Amino acid sequence: MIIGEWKPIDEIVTMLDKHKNILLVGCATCMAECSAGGEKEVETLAPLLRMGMKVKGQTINMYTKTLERQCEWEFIEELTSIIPKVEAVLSLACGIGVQAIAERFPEVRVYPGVNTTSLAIREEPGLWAVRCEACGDCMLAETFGLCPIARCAKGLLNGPCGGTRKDGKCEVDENVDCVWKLIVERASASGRLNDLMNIRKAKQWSYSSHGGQKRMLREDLRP
Amino acid sequence: MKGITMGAKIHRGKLEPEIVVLYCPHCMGKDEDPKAALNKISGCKAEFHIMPCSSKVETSHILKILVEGTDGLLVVGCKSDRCRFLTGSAMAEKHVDYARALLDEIRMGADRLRMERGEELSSLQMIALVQSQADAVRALGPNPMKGAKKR
Repeated sequence: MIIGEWKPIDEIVTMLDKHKNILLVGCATCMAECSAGGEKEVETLAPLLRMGMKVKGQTINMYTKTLERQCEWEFIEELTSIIPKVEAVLSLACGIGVQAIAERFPEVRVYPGVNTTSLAIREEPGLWAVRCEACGDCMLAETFGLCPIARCAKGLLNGPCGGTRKDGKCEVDENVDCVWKLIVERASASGRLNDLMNIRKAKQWSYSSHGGQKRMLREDLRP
Repeated sequence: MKGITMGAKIHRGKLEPEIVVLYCPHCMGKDEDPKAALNKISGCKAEFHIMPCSSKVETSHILKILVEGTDGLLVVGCKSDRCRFLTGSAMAEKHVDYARALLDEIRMGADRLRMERGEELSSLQMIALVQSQADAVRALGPNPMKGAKKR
């Protein structure tokens, strides 16, 4: 899932400073899963912002709505009847949702309430860890299902580096396993350790976040 | 909990805060009912709400009560080794700590909210907890949301 976390409340209050009628929109998919922008978080943030603005001497009207997804045009249409009542929208979606609402409703100011951070999995209750960097040239088949791009502090494709701690943790963060240690262990357990000796073709980094906006085109799905 | 509306009063120049109490019934002694002891309260107003377990108090509940103008909130749960949900009151404490941090961030005052743990509490002990929370809230002044519109 995409994960994110609330922006500091002070930053949000400052962003919304000049607005009186505000719509707070949650997203019931990724941001709900990572407890940053689902219905529960909308119900928490709405009274908090009303109080925060009041302390600064401003009374606001706060409307709330949680969409199934803010990254699909069909779901965003549900906002059509509320938008005329407000001057600003605070979106608790990832950056995709914020941009989609801003594009669909250019007549209102749209603000992000969340800092989108990464693509992650929930490892334990209350703990998410990055698993994918969306690099566009997946090499998980060669690394036994463990991604060194997302999980190695140095992004090494030929690890482990010399800095792995004795207990198998990363030298950069003692709470994180060295992913190359895990890769070697998994390869070894499946009797395919020698596969790691294969020479890999240079990784195609142009599919990553370099070289402008990434686009994906499927002619078979186009009208 | 919906629609809690009480009116804070200034009595002889002293704020009489409204305190909402959310409590787990298992921290009370047998046959003890704090509502029956409401007449023993002075200098503040209290409203008691039983929760199935203090862990059921969510941050959003706390903030909704405060946004409606209540001056202070007290969550009372069981002692950690007496919680029938084992980690219920510990979870409640985390919810309360989180909400306190948020209240601090918006400068409403974290002390508007407090959690206490109890075992076999008498109604009078519960009233004493309310009175002490009222003292803490009095120092912060009335809730600025008092009288604000609902939306």
